[in-house]
Amino acid sequence: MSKHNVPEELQAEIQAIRDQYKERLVSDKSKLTSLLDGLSLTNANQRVDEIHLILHSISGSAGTFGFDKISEEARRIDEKLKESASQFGQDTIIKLISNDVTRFCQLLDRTSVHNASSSSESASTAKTLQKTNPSRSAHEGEVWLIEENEQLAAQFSKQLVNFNFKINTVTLKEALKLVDKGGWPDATIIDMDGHPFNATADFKTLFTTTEGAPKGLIMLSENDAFDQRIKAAKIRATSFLKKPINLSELVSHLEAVVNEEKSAQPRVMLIDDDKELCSLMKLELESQGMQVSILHDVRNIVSELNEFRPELLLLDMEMPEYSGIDIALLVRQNVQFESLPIVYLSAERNLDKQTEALLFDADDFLVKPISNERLISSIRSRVHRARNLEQLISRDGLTGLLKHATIKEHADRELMRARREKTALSIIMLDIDHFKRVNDTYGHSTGDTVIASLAALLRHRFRQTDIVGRYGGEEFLVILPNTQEQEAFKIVDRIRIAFSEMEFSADNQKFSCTLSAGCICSSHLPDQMDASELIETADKALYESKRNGRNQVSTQQ
Amino acid sequence: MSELKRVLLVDDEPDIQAIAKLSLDKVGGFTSLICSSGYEAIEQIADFKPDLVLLDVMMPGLDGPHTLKQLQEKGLLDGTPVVFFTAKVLNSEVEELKELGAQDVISKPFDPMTLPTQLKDIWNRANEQT
Repeated sequence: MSKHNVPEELQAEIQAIRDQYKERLVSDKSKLTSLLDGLSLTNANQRVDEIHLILHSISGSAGTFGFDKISEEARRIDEKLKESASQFGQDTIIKLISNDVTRFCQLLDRTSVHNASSSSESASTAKTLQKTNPSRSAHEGEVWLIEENEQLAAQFSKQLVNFNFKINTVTLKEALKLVDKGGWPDATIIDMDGHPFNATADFKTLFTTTEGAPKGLIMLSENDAFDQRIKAAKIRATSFLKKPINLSELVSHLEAVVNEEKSAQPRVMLIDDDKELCSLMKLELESQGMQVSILHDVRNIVSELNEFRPELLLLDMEMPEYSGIDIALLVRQNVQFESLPIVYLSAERNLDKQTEALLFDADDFLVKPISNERLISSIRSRVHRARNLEQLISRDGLTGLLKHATIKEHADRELMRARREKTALSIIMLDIDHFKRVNDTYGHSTGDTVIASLAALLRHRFRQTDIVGRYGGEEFLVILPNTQEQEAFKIVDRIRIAFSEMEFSADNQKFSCTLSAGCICSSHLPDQMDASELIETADKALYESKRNGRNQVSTQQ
Repeated sequence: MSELKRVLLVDDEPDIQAIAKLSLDKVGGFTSLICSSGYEAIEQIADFKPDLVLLDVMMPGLDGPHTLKQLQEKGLLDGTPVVFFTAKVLNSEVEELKELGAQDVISKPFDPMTLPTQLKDIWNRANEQT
C-alpha cells in the first residue's frame, strides 16, 4: 500500500492554489460586510439570500484548502439561517444574522492576519494542509515548551513529536516576543527550574502579557514543595509534574489540555411545551456550537434518548400533562441514563420548592427567564463534570482508553448506524509484539510505560470520530466509522511505523517494540454479521500478521 | 474490468476547479476536463467521452440536478455514471440527489489527496452493478 508521499512540486502547486483561495476569502469578507451594513427590513430577503449563497459556497470549499474551522462555521450559520427562515419573522432573522455573520467576518479577518505572517513559509504537505486551522491565535494547535536548558529542550521535543504535537521549544525571552505577534498557543509547558525562574521570581508578573496569561499551562519542576506548587496554582496552571518526567504522564496531561480546547461540543436535549422558547434556546445553544435536539413528543423519550445520546437533559418543570419530576423519574428507570445530568427549567422562585424538586434525581434548577450566558455556562460546567466522571467509569486507568465492555457497546452501536446510513465501518485490532518479553526483561512498570505510550500514540493518530479502546492486556481495538478498509489500513500502517521508531529505556538500556494489526471493513463482509463477529474477523487478520512474522498489518482481503 | 481514466468536472468556482484539476490529474493520474457550467458540460460531453462525470449541485443558471436531467433527456450519458459534488450533507438531501439518477454523492469540502480513490471506488461499484 503506498503512503501519502506528496512530491515537492505538487506541494508547491497546492500552496499556490491555497494562496489564491485566501485572496478569495478576503474578497468574500468584504462582500459580507457590505451586505450586512445596509441590511434593513425592506431589502432583507434579497440580502439574506446573497449572504446564504456566499456562506454555502465557503462551507463547501474552505475545508478543501485547509480552513476547516471556517468551513464548519460557515456551514453552521448557513444551516441556522435556513432553519430560522421558516420559524421567525424578519426582524429576528436580521438580528441573528448580524451577530453571527459579524463574528464570522472577524474569524476571516484573523485568518488573513495569520496568513500574512506565514506567507513566507514553505509549502506544507497535504496532511498539514488539511490540519491547518487558522482561527483565534496564530499559534493554534501548537505547544510551546519554555525550557532554558538546551539539552533537555532537545530531548523533550524529540520525544513529544511522535505524539503529533506541534512542539516549539523556546526560551522565556523568545516566548514573550512570539506572544506579541500572535498570542499564546493552545498549551504551554514551563520548566520552572531554569534561570529566569529563580526562587523569588513572580511568575504571575513574568507571564502576564498584553495577550493575557498562557492557557493550558503545564508546569515542570524538581521541587514539588508547597511553595513551588502554589506558584503554579497562582498562574492557573492546570497541571504540575515533578521531574524526572514520565513521558506518558506528560502526554496525558498535554492531551487533556489540548483536547479540552477542541473537545466535542455538548449534546443537549430540550423538553419544554413552549415551542417558541424551545426554538430560540436551540438556536442560541447552536450558535455556541452545541448540538441540540428538541423532544416534541415526550412519549418517545426513551427511543429519542437512545438515538441522540444527549449529555444533558434540559427539562421544563411545569408541562400540562406530565411534570418535570415525572419525566426525570421515568428517565432514571432506565439504567443506561442513570448518570445523565438533568437540569430543570422553571418559573418557580420558591427555594423550598426548588430543593424539593432536586430530591427527585435532577442535578440543577434554573429559574426562567434565564440569561443566555448563565444557561450556557451551566450546561458547559455540568457536561464537563459528567464527562470527567464518565472518563473515570468507562476508561482504563493506565491508558485513558475505553474499557473492554464499553468499546464493545460502541462497536454494536456504530455497526447499527453504519448499516442504517449505508456507510462503511472499519475495525482494527492491534497487539504489541513479544510483549511478554518486555515484561520479563525490564519489569512490569516498564511494560506499563510501553502500553501507555502506544495508547497515547493511538489517541493522537486517530480522528476524534474514531473510537479507541484497550481490549485486553496489550491488545487494542479501534472502530472507524465512515471509513473504507484502504483508508484504515493507511492510518494503522503509519502508526505501526511510528511505534517501531519510538525508543524506550529501562536500566540504562534502550529498546524499541513493534506491533501487529488486523484491519477489516463491514462493507466487505456479509450484512448478517454482528459486531462481535466483525471483531473476531479483525482478530483473525491480526493473527495472520503474527503468523507472517509480526510488525505488519493484514486485511481480510 | 476497465479502468477509470477520463473525468469531466462541472463546477463554477475557479478555486475548486484548480484544486480538483490538480487532484484528478496529478494525484489520480486521470485525464480531466473542467466545465464551468451545466451548459458547457452538455456541449462538451460528447467530444470528451468521460468515464465519469463529477457534477456540482449548486451552480448559477443551470444547477447540478437540472444539468443531469438535460444530460439524461438528450441521451448524452449512455450509462456514464454521474457523481454529485455538494456541500449539502443531510442524509435526506443525499438520498434525493441519488433518486435523480446519480451514482453517488461526494461531500464538500473534499480532500484533494483522497478524491481520486473515492472516485475509483464509486466507479468500481458502478461497474459491479452493471
